[in-house]
Amino acid sequence: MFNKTLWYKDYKQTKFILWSIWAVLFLGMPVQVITRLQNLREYEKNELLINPNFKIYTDYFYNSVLNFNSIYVVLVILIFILASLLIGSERGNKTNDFTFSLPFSRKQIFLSKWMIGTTFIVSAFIFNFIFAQVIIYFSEYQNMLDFEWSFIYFVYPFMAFVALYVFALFFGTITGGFIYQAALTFIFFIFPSGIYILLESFSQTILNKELYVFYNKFDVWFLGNYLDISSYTSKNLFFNTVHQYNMIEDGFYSFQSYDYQFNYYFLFIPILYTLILLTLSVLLYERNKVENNGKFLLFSQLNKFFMFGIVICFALLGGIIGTAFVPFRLNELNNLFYLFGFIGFGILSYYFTRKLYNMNLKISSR
Amino acid sequence: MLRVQNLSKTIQGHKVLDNISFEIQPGKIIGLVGRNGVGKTTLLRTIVGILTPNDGDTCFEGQSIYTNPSIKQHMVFVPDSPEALKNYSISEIVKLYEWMYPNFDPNYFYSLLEKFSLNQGKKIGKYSKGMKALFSLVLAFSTKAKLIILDEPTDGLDVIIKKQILRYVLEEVSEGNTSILISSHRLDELEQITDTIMVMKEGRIESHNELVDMKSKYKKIQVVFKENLPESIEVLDEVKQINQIGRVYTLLLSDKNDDISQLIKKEQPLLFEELPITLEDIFVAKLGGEEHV
Repeated sequence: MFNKTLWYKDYKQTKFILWSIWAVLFLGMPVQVITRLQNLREYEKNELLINPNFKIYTDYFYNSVLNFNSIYVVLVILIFILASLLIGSERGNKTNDFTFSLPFSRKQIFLSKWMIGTTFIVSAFIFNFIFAQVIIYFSEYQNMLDFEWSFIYFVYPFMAFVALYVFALFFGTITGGFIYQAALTFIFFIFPSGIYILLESFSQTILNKELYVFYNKFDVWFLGNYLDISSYTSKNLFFNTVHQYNMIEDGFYSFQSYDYQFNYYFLFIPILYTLILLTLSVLLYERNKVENNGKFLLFSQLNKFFMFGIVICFALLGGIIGTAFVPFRLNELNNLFYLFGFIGFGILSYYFTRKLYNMNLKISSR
Repeated sequence: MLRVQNLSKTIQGHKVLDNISFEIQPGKIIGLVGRNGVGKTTLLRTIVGILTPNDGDTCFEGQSIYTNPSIKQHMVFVPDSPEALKNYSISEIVKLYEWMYPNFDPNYFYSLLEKFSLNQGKKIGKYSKGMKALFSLVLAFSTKAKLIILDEPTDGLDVIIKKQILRYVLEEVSEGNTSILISSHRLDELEQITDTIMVMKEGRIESHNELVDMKSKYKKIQVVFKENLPESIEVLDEVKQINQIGRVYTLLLSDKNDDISQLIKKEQPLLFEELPITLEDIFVAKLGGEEHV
């Protein structure tokens, strides 16, 4: 499967981003851990002055030292750019023509792109995560290291990044350029949360029903929800743990602790994403209509589906915007304003999408 | 060596290639001629696998290039500019091509760069348009591929570079068994180097002939009559009026057996003179409308 020519070509095309992944993870993991350990020392020292029985618990330790959420956000952006550079940007110039004229099958070409990205993501993640663990191991917090906790903090984000990279490549196999691929990847990444906001407003305003219960049952299946950094209740970045509150009384203070129950079966979600999207992407890449490069979608069969989706989403957004104009104390007009916004935005987005379908971003169409 | 069988390609509901079949023998130079938008570039891009055909197949030495793309090690496509390699240095390109094409000859490649005074320190993106075109050719021929496909290699280049390129192509082919498929608008250039001409019209191969044969099928004459061109001659399908200045007519005759010439002579022209025929004349005759060429 490995082909050094394709690997070299892809490396040349994206080396800046590939090494950025390494740099970001290096600065974000081992280097940051050194600072965090120092902060923890200070914190512990201060707390011990007040409470001689003060103790740092494993969950606190891991959350304050090995939780790299903000770095993961940067990594996700880099991963999306990487995938869009490898597939989308090739379509904007003559590189795609060059690549497809070479003595390689499209499957080989796609898998090489997948392999180079995955190799860099995986190697950078493993190396820097282990490096961070080693730093802790040689510190006074050595006894805080716990295999299961480390495994959880490692394996969930790791699997999710591998899946997210395939997810981003997948959109390259159906779109005709860098901007389109990057935009669709991002939109579908936040889509589950986005569509929830849109549908919830529709459901509340028009149907007078709450969607929360229904949504909460399924949200775990969306990769984007792994990026839910604001919620510490049931999800964390790339984590899905169910925990219970325990009040701990230690004489001076009462504070919360959690009993964690890790759901390993959640790991199947990114694995499933990877397997399904990789297979699908290879099939689609093999069938890519290069003559449609530069267009929004490479497969005209998808035009109607996306037209429907875009119009509905914009209409739902229009509804929310519409209700913002409801005059003070005239809440009974909510429905009417919602509908105005819904229809207006629906029509506008229909024309916008038609325009989008007719656009061609290709620099040279010869 | 290369066999194109019933190739068809539809793009956005428009049939750009319609059941195209032809063969290329070793050591031949084939010119592909056609009006703008007739599908020449689409044909070349489909033959090398950039585009996938709706129907038909392209086989190189008996193997389909679509199902066995590794066979493309023996054929190289040269687009009108090496855009994809613009960020590469010469040494990087050599590395890449050595891995890709088993017969790539780096020594030969460097000697050609020197011969054409192509600066080896520069990245390809810094080359002028002419240098890029020349570079693409040098690179393609250094692969020692059996078939080289050139898409408008001299498009937009100055006369000196053009001559250099055409001379080089001829030299290369005369030395080895390389075949070349070349598309061009410049009929005068194709005339200088090709053995065979394929004329494309409305997505089909209108004719596929040896250049010498083609020329023997036609005759170009200049005639002057006392009055206008006699109607009996004007209406003939075999007679194509290329030009008219006053009473001086330039005609192209599909006249294998001299019958038409005899007919014209019977009308007693004041002048009947045979002119040397060019590929452009045939092109006009076959594809009609001088304005479209």
